[in-house]
Amino acid sequence: MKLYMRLIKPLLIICSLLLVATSAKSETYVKSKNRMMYAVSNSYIWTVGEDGKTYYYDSQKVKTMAPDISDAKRVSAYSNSLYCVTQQGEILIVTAGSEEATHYPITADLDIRQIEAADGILYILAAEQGSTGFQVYAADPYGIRFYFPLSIDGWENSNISSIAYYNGYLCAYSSENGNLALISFLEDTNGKLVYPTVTVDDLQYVQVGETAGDIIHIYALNDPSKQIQLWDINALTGEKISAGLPFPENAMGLRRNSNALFVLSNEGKELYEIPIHTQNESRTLTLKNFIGEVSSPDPRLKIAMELFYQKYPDVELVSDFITDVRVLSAGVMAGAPGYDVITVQENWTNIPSILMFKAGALENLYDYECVKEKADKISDIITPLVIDGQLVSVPNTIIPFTWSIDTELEQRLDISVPRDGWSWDMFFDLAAKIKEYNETNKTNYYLIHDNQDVLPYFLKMYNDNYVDAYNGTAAYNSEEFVRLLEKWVEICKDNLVLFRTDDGSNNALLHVKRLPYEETREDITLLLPPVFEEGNRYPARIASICLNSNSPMKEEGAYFLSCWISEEALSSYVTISNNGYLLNSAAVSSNALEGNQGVWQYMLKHTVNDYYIGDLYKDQWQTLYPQLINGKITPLQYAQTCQRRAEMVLGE
Amino acid sequence: MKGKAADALSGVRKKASVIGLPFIVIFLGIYVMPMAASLLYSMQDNRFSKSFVGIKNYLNIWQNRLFLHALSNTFIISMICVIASMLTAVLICFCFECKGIKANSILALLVLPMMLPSIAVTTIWKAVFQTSSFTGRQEGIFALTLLFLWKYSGTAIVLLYLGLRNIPEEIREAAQIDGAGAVRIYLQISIPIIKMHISLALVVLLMFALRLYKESYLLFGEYPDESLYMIQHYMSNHFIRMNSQNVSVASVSFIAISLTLYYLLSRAGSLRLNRKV
Repeated sequence: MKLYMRLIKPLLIICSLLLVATSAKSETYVKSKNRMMYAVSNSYIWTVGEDGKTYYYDSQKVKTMAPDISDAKRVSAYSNSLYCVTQQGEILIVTAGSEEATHYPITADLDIRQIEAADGILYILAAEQGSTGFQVYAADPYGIRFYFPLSIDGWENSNISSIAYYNGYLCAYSSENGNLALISFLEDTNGKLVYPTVTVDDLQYVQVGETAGDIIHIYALNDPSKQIQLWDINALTGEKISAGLPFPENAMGLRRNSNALFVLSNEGKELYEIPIHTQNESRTLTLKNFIGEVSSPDPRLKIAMELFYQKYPDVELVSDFITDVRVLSAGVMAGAPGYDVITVQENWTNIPSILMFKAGALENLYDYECVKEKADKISDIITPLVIDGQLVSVPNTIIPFTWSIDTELEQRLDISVPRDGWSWDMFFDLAAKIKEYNETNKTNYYLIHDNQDVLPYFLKMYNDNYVDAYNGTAAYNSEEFVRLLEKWVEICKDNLVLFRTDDGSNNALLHVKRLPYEETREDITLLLPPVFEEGNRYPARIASICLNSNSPMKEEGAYFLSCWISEEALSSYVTISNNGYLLNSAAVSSNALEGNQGVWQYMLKHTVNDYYIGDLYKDQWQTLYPQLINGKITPLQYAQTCQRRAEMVLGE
Repeated sequence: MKGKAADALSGVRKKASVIGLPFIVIFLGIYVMPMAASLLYSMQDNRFSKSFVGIKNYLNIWQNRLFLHALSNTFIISMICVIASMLTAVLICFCFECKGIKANSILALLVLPMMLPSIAVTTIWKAVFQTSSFTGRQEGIFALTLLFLWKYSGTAIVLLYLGLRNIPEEIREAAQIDGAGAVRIYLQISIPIIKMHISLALVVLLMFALRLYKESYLLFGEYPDESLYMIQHYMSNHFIRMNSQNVSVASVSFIAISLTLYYLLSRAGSLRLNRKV
């Protein structure tokens, strides 16, 4: 027993020390040997060291190196970009994932004290040369070529000492007269005071706070000449109380994202995270990798949010973007918290949504009446997302791989390409005619130019129609596939296919292109691609929005999805020039060419999801297809190998 | 005195158990608890609903053609590699015996291939054998077996050689006087004497053979030819897809089969031993 205690006691002491050590460091976000500057957006936390080393951290605290920024003077972040004013008189814009910063020489002659980035605009706290009074200016972020002082009714824009921008609100403080103002740009892009200015003494840093009882609050750190305190200020009355949040000694700076405040301490060498807790403990619904930012929503998202908040005013919608798709897939499959509503871009995912659904990670959305009711109204469009009577996801965007035809070349070649549907056999019959024309006229026309993906459209369409990942079946060993594959190899040998390359000319009769609806207004002629005997659906890139089975907010998540595919939200998307388009009869634009519109609509209602099942397709495009084209394997061997591989991958 | 000795022994045992306590805890934490967790996962529907489904997962997976194929391939490939290595070791040791070679100086060289990183070895093998995920059955098994022989048979040679070295020379001399040839001496005298070393070599080779997945993956990828598809491929592919239920069922099944085989072999060995006695 004595020996036992002699062993246990030191072990206990060591464990306690470890516990204390780890708990003391638990709120430090980043520690650096050198002083650093930092910026915060809802997507990333950025740090810029004295040595120029720049990093950004995503919501999972995954650290990524960004291009070095030397001589950084002021920094701010918005969405996935960092904006930096340098000592050299430049603005650098660094976007997460980019390898270089873009430089813009500053043309304005301003003494810049602070910058706050917003959507396409910079709010800067600056003074004109020779002037001592600092004002808030709105400026363009590409070199401050244009700038003007903000002029808001009821607010004196002079001697401002601190500003902060968050979620469409700007707060501004003047230490000279104690005026604290909260300005909103949500309804009026010129800005409007939310409440009359209030007077609060001795503040240094301010930041937009939370809403409590319909009144927006402001966080602030006071002047360092007095004991540093983190304040929660009622922006309507100016009442100041302690925020009741832990913060480090000698805190400076005050920035925020949707979840936390961030301050520097330890002479700027330590970045400290202060989680925000609101009194009414509002719940959050996280939209993971959503194509759209909740803090500055496009019209469709805005309408969806408004509809959502009508039913769930106490639930906060939060966007969060993870650049590493492996982390996203792992988070979903591991049932990690914070993965409520997930957007899966099928060409950019580690695990296709269909396999996540098969594993039980995603909900069947037909189980939710609110979604079913809306989905039934667009049933023909969401067919590719329905598997065995279960709705796996709702679409964010659907972009079909369209075909266009060079009508001039069609006339010159004196051939007629069917416009109302045709087969692959008919497609290959065209090849013979073009080949003959080329030989006779010594020309070099191509039958098809396909530059869109790693596999030609012909194989992509076959994969998408005949591989059923959910039920684990594939049909490569059909007589039709082998026969058509032989013809494909033949036309490749005859140099009639321009695949994954561009000879700079416009010598192809047919072109494959992924087209959003807006581009169908261009002067091109769309036509329906050919189809197989049983496989007659057209591949489309779909960004699917799914509901995580492990989410504690499934009802709320499902309701949001129903708002997203509501008629009001879909109709709003007409005017946006963006990728993807979901049509309903009310949303058809009259500007589109009737023929193209008809083709596009038809394709949209007959799409098949272009899942990229890496284990299955990687060897096809990396190994098998090149071997097929180079004659190292026959079409039959190609088909048999694909079938064997599919049986293994899908049958595991 | 006897009582004092017994007390002393009891005291030592108590101290030993106390000192051994941390190691027991670590063993439980690293080995037993993960196995127990695996067993639990194997009986759940999925990691989200976590509903208990008993042996339903086992019934599903044991009906999966690829799973059964993987299990049989694992044992077949392991047996081929182990037997080939054992025969090679026996043959090389015979050469050492015949030539009277004192192989002490080359023992280190024999074990050296095992020290080389698999990635380096497989890079050379890929260049020589042009392996890929489309390598056929015969070429694949040949390449894999040859790699195993080159890398791991040295260990078996060392173990057998050390056993042979300890055989008193008089036994061989006596056999020679009686007219036995070198082969007969080796097969009927030396080999039976070093049974324990052979058993140890077999166990070590089997252990290496079951870890051959690493080299197989590097040579042939996640989805090799069906004849080369092992249970570790199955588990690894499902692990990447985070299908923890499939991984758990496969690992529990594999452990159960291995333990059963080990038990049966042990029983057979000890029964044989008892009969001889």
